[in-house]
Amino acid sequence: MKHLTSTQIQEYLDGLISGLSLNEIELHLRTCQDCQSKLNALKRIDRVLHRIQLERVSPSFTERVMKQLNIKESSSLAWTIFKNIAPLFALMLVTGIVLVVMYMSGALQGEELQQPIQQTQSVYNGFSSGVSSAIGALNEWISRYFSFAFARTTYGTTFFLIVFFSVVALLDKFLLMPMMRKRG
Amino acid sequence: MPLSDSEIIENIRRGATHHYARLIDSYKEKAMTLAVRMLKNREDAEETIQDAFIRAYNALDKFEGASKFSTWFYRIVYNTCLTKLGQRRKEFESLDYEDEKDYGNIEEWQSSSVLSDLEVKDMVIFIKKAIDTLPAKYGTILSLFYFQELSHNEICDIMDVPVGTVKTHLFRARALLQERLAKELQQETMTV
Repeated sequence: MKHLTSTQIQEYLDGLISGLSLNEIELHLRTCQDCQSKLNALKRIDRVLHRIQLERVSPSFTERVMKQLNIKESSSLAWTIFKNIAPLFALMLVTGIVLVVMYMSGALQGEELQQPIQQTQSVYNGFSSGVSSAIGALNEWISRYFSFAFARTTYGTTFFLIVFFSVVALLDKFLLMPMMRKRG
Repeated sequence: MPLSDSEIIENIRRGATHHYARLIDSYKEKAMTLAVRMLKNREDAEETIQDAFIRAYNALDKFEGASKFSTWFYRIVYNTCLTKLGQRRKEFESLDYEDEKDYGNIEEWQSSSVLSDLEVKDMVIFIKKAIDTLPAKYGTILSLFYFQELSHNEICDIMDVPVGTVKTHLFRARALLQERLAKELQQETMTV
């Protein structure tokens, strides 16, 4: 019986043979131990080659390419919101510090400044009473529904906060960010 | 659900350029494997695939989607590596397998029994070593077929050679690999 050529065995292994030739080769392989062992040796190499791991690149590779292309990688929604409101907080903080310094140094003591100060004071009072009542309502709501976290121990509070921020972070990472990416 | 390559490319074209990071993450290790096999130097390989990713991004508008993105991209990697080879490119391309003694007796290697005694995990180590000793062209064809998981026709497109040449190269790469592997094992058994 004529043995299969190495090319035939390899083409059979790579799935390049079909139809009548395939039947003939399979029939031969069933009866020829020699060709079968050649095929098995190739299969073994083939299997091992599929298991070899890919070469790694350095950890900062993607970042480096994106930087060279001048593309900014998108950040998480929470970070985007924080970045956007951070300047407002900074402005409020600086304004507050300036006002406190001016008040303490007596710069706001002049009579001509008393009227605008009183007006500002009344706006501030109105604002702070609004904020106080909102916080009061929130406290009442929290103590009603989340008393387990706030009324008993510090551990409860800590646990609640950890769970709360973890849920927010997970929602951000797996729900909001994929939605944003999909929208492009 | 992860986006497909064509969806990612569509998003990039619509302005969401940061999505390119996803394509880089998907292909960087496969591209690196190909480049290491071709250039035989990790530093050069990383620098070259970095260049290839930049070229691909700049040419993304020219990608019409007639072939898969992977095939198109690996062709860029392959050509960028050829450019990087410079003087060595001739050596890489002129390897025509005419010298039979380079890869031994093809008919004999397949029946070698030395390999059948080895565990697969040990073979992985030996084969990895043996691949590193292969001439660049053989390593390249093995990389395209096994690591990039490309078909014979896709390899033809990338290397710009007929399908018969791909089959021959692949056959001889395997033959040489098995021969080197057998030698490696013999040396190992002699030293033990």
